[in-house]
Amino acid sequence: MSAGQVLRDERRSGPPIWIPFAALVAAAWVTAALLGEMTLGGQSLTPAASAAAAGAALLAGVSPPARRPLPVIAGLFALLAVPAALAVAASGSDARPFVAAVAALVAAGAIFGGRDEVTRLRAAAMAGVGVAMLVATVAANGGWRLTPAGRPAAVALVAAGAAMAMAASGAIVPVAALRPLLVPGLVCALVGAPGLGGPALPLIASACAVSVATLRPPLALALLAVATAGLPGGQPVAALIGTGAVLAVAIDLPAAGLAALPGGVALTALLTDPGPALPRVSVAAAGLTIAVGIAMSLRGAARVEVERRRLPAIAAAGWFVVAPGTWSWAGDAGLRPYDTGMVRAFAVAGLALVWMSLAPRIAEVSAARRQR
Amino acid sequence: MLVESPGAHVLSRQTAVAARARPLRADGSRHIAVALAAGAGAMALTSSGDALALGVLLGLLAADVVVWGGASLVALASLARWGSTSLRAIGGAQAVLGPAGLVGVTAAALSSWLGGAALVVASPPNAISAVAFGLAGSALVAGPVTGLDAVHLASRAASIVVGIGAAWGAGRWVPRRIARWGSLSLAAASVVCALLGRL
Repeated sequence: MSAGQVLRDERRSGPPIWIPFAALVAAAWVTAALLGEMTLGGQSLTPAASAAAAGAALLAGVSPPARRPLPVIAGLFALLAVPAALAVAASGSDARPFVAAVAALVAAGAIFGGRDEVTRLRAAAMAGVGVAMLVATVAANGGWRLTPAGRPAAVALVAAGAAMAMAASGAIVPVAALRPLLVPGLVCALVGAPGLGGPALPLIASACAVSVATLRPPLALALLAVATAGLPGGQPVAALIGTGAVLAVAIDLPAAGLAALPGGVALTALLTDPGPALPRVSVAAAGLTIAVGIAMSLRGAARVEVERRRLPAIAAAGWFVVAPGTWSWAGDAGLRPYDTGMVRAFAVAGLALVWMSLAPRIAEVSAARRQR
Repeated sequence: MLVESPGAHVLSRQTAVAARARPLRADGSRHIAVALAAGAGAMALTSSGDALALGVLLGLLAADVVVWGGASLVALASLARWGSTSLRAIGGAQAVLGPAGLVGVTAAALSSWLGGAALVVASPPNAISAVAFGLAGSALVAGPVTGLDAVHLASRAASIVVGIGAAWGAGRWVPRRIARWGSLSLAAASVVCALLGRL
């Protein structure tokens, strides 16, 4: 944050304890991700699953519920139950709680989502279609797991993820209560993408990303992540890009697009790998379009007001942009050199800021001593 | 009755372009400019980090999408020549082979010179930016400091001084509009030369 930015409370009030409590929940899931493979309630959780749960908690935390019993209960459900069910399902265990949690989240969004009724129901309907396809996919898998049993199931899973991501990011108008659906949507799409193979998914998802790049850059990032997941060896890079999309939605400021930097760097390296040219060219074109869109949106970022509810997301984004390699859950995306340079740049920049803050004071003291 | 001439308060085209390309200091954000310049300079001087990330920092420092585009193209030219955007890999290759502007086929060496020129020309008209852009340009052409040999240190120091001086001069004397688009053109030419050098 620069000198021109002012912190203020969100006008739409939620319970006072909501923001620190949500930050605590997200931090707990981040800690779980950093600790590696762990067991919770008899369920084994992978680092990637814990990180996904942290993202879902972060998104739930930036949407404080209204100070009424039912919205608070719905908010707590989105903050606690949905990430836990997501972590279990993403770890390869029973996906039925996850499906039920997502369906309940959509229902709560349809009832308490705010905005006008048409907007709310439209977004909920889109999410509902995604949930329906998710139910069909999971049911077709005999073990009720989040893994597609065949190519048609993979297509349905990717489509379900895309629908939920669009409902969360707001294809037309965003509905805050459905924001936590972005992470489940990305997880479903990224799990289903490798089962498709071929150039179809990168081409289609890239085209969709380009079409929304100027309207909804975070949604375009999410679709770019889906497209990247369809490339050989693209899963770790897709996870990085998807993380950037989640952070951009959570922060919801023009400068939030900078969270896509680690993913963009990793994507550039991925595109130079040998392989079919057409999907790589389409993904590159989509990435370039999104990058230019983000750069253009930064023109209006010189003076912004930062809401207190977004501070945890901003802190997470700062950590992610400076040291994405510490997020080991993303796999080896080849960002170690990036980490080293950014940490050094950040450290030197910090020293420069400290010096600029202290230099006037030091000059005053020196001048006072000379006068004596 | 006094009548103002039409368009009395309309900025000249160059002034308007320069105003749009002004770094983030009109709001008292000089601290941000210094921090960005310090960070970018540290990455360039130590040859650590990623060239694309360095391009983002330089673009933010200039607060200009065109400058960011040119810096990104320079990074892609480095990718085409060295096979990586890692500044450490680029610096390591120069430590082994020699300065990028003096080794390799003609097209490849020319690519590095064009990239360095693109970064130097893109520098906004202030000393803080000149240091960052000059360091980046000199690192691209001459490489990092890799030893304590007197000749090597002297040559590296000279390249840094030349780079910063050229960036400061370009910011002062080159019209901003020409500098921005000229930088982008030089960067694009750098990419073409890098690709030709691989043939």
